[in-house]
Amino acid sequence: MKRLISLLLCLMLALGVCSFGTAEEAPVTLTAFVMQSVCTEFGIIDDWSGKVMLDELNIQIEFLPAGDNVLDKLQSYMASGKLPDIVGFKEQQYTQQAINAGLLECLDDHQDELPNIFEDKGNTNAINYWRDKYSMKGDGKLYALPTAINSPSSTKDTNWQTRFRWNLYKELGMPEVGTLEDILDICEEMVALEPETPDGKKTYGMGLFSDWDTHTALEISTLSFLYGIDTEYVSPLMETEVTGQWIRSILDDEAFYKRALHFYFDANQRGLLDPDSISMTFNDVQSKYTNGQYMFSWFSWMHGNYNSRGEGHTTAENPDGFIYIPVTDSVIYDKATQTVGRNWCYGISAACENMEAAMKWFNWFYAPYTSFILSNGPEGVRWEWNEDGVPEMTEDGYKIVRGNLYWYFNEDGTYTITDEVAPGRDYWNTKPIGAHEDYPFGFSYSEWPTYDDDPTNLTKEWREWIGYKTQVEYGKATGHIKVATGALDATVIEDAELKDELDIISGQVGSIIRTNSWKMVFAADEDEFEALWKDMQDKAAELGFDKYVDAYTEAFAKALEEISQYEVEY
Amino acid sequence: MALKEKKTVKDILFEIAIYSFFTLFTLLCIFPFYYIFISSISSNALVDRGAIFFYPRSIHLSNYVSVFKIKTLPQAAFISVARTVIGTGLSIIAASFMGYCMSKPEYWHRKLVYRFIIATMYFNAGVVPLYLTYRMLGLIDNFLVYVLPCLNQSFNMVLCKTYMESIPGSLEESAEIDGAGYFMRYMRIILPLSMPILATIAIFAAVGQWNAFMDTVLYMTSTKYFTLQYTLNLYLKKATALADILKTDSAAAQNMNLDTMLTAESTRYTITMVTIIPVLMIYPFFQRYFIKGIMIGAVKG
Amino acid sequence: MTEAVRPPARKTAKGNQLMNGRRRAGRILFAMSAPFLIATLLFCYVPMFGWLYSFVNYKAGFSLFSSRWVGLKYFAMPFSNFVLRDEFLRVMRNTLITSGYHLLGSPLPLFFAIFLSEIKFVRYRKSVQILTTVPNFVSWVIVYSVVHSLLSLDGFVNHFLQMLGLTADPINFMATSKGVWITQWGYGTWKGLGWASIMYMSAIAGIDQELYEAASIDGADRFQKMWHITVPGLLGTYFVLLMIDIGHILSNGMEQYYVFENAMNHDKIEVLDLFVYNQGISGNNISYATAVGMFKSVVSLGLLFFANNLSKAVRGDSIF
Repeated sequence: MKRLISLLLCLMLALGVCSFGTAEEAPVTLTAFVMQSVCTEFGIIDDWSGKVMLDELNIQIEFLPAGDNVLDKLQSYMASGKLPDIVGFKEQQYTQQAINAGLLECLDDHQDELPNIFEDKGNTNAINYWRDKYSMKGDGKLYALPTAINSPSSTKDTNWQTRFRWNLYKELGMPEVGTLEDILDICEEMVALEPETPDGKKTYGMGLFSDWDTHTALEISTLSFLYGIDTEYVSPLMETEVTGQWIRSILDDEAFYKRALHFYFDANQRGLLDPDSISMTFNDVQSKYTNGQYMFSWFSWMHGNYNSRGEGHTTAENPDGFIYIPVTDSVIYDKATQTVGRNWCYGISAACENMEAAMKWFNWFYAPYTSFILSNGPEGVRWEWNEDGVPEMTEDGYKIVRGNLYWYFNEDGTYTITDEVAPGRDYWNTKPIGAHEDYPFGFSYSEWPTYDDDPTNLTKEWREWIGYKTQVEYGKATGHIKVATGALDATVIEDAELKDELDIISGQVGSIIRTNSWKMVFAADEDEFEALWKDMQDKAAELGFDKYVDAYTEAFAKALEEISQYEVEY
Repeated sequence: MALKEKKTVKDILFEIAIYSFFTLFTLLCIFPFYYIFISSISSNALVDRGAIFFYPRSIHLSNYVSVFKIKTLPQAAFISVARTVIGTGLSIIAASFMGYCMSKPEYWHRKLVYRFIIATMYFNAGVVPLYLTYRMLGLIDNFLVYVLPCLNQSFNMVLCKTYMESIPGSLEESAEIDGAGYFMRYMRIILPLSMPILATIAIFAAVGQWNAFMDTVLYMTSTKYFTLQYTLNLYLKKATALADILKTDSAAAQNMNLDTMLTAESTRYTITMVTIIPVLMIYPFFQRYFIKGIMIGAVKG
Repeated sequence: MTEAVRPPARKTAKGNQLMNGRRRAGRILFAMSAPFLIATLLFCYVPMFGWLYSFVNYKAGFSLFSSRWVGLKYFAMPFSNFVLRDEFLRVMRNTLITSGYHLLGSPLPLFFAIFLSEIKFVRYRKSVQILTTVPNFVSWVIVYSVVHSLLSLDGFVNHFLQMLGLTADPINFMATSKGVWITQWGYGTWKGLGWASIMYMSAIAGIDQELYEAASIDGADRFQKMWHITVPGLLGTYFVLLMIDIGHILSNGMEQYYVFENAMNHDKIEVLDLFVYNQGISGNNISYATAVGMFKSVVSLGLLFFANNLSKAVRGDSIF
């Protein structure tokens, strides 16, 4: 009976009926601690998603702020033996720790309350994987569910790509860029064309910042993704060929990292690297991009506001802006379809006092429909169904999206559009489901066939030149994109004590790599460059780095071997 | 001063030296403050480009307007004021009374107790044990967690003790002979003479309370206890959220609207102004206690 | 009181009574201060059970007793191989030098306060006093962004120097290992000087005005009064604060060095607190982080004890 009601509920949700629930009863309040939200919001969620939950479930969520010292808070909650009702984990080792300590409710005990999870074939791989990998001391049960289940590869732009200033590239006669090192030649010529910005600031090929560095000089190692090598997901200290052909240490003599270091070393020798790089922060670099002081960018989003419509570069008669220019030998990483989700996850606290409500919420949360509306809002504001059953942006929707605006529900159910940052975008920035067969057009509005992306002059010119609509389309057609194996996201060090030990090693080695890397970029000559590299290798070896490399090599091999079990079509 | 001295050349040179030093140093100190101020009222786009340095451009107040529009701001300000007032009061009581006790040689095992308190200055138990202790005491998500720990004063207590020891003992002795007990002597003689140090401690404690931040982060979950500092910091986080998401998960950028990637500088500056100004305003109130010298003779006589 | 420990007979009965009275009074005073002592016990001593975490492999969520005993593993970590040992020694050197500069500069707030109190123009004096504390409230992140826009290669100072023709190439002030310690000390002093002088301002206010008047009558000029009345009047406070600072030698704080750190000055700027952060010890590994905290506390108390005894031997007066 319960199951029938749940199914009915699910059906009604799918139809978008918002009047279910017993409104007379006082709503149940659940607390939520979602680490991955980087969340600034707190208190009872009262934006539109709060309204939807209240209307549909008669549940309200009290969001506990998770922005600062989130690990300290988590550890405090865990040490006290009681987690908040809904928990979102960001780091796999804490997920495992919480499960082993019995702090998370076993979801298998509530199968009949969670039909959206257990009866949807789309989740089978993820469930199997999480039962195998994250059970309580190997009991094979499910305690948490990942986010972004089945999230697909990129559709428009890959995260990493080689971007240059378009008008200068045209002025140079659109030369072919053969390989990584040729980028410097292009930059040099571009700087020669425009040695100063209109307001008299000196231009450079590129600038770096160091405040995001963790284990390596991040902005340097990240170039590897342009050549299909991961330096983030398996480990920042390992280079993993994204399809799984090989894995090696970042300090290997063959390592791409050394080539990347040399790239910036050359850039510095040729005066193309902003000499302030060593002391700049992310904000400083963004400012300089906005000012037009740089020529090259390796992230699809790293150009300050230079490309934004407000600045007028992209919409000018002779448009300018940062845009993808292919490098002949580069094969850009793109993430795999994540059948097992990513290693961020949600769970329900074993100490939850209203388990029934928590399960009701969890079931709702993991419905594909929920992820769809969490991305786009409820029907009727930003979007509506058209006759063919495909979502379509409304006029207000275009207004909101293009104007970077926000909206909220009024008391009477109407809504208001505003340019002030309204709450609601931060709560659930990681959606439970990434894609679903019932939504073949995709969860993100920009993927819908009905969506008019209103191309800027820059985009129009670029499309004409490259002959494709998007960078991903071009990349897939010409082999400039390499889709990764799911094993990248599934590499786990299972032994908790070993993991601790490896973390200590990576902290120690990372501290040395960070410092030496920056020194190498600014080294006076090749000899100093080589000496620093050698020094880094020697010190790492002494710190037991081999053990680290071996452990991750083994873990990755295991993940690679097992991943196919979790990439089955059901 | 009773006697008016004639100014010597040495005096004049000295005056010139100290006036010029203090003027220069003060300018050096207020420059960042000025910089923060002009940045908070200049066009955000120009600030983001680093184009503002010596004078404001395209003046606007919308940064302040947005800060004051934060819904929970009045409640947060109330909590901040409440904890500052109560916390400061408790700090003064604890520091001055313990300081007084420690200045009395007859105190039972004085040296031991003194060291017992001093040692805590160097203790660092770590986040988790503190959380567990506070939980055991029922202080989690409880306003008292802001103010009760003020009852343990080590640094301020040392300041008080040192100061009180410089008060001539003869004053207390005469009161003791008149039959006044410790509490009476503490209230009637020591406290009035200690106003300068109490004012100092009040400033230290008040600023500490006003700027305190970590205790809200770690021990509070209910919105109603959030302080001004914390609320403003959350607001700042909102401005940096995009960068934070990119930092932890750069691939997430694919699902975000990155058309305007605002840096958070303007917000940061505005918030700094909003928190500094109240502090500067309470100063003059305490200042009068340590500008004027004490005439112990007057008290005695 | 038993017969055996009765005070020597030469004491008069009255003196004896007074002794007992004093003793009782001392106990009464202790009883009166008990609430504060209990607070200290609860808020500072009870949480110290957490030090046990440093000897086991503690994981939040599991009980202390079910955690595996690892002994001194985390304490021995810095000496487990020569790279770490060198790093640790380098970090300790930086920490001690940084603290050394701080200790050398510790009389500055005292003189700051004395000179400031010499200013007779009250409004000016009050304003200076308020405004010089402003830097104390500006976060290091903002200080860095102001300093960076002044001192970076295309910053104001370099433009100015080039305009005057003092230097052909811009100077990279931010990315150099030259003068790191003194510069950082300068930033720290700039930020804290006005704030630290408040304590001395209050101590000056506490000096008996009669002393000055008496000195004036004896014909002392202002410098003699400063030197013979004000300075001695502040020394008590100064020595106490010095002792406390000596105990804090290993704790330089992290934020300042964190924002100013870059690869070029890393070798000199990395103090213990920053090192702990850089190695990723804080937060993730409770046991390791606790061991570091415990190490610091023990060393601090040792230093305090040592300095106190030194003061007893040299000045004939111990402070604690």
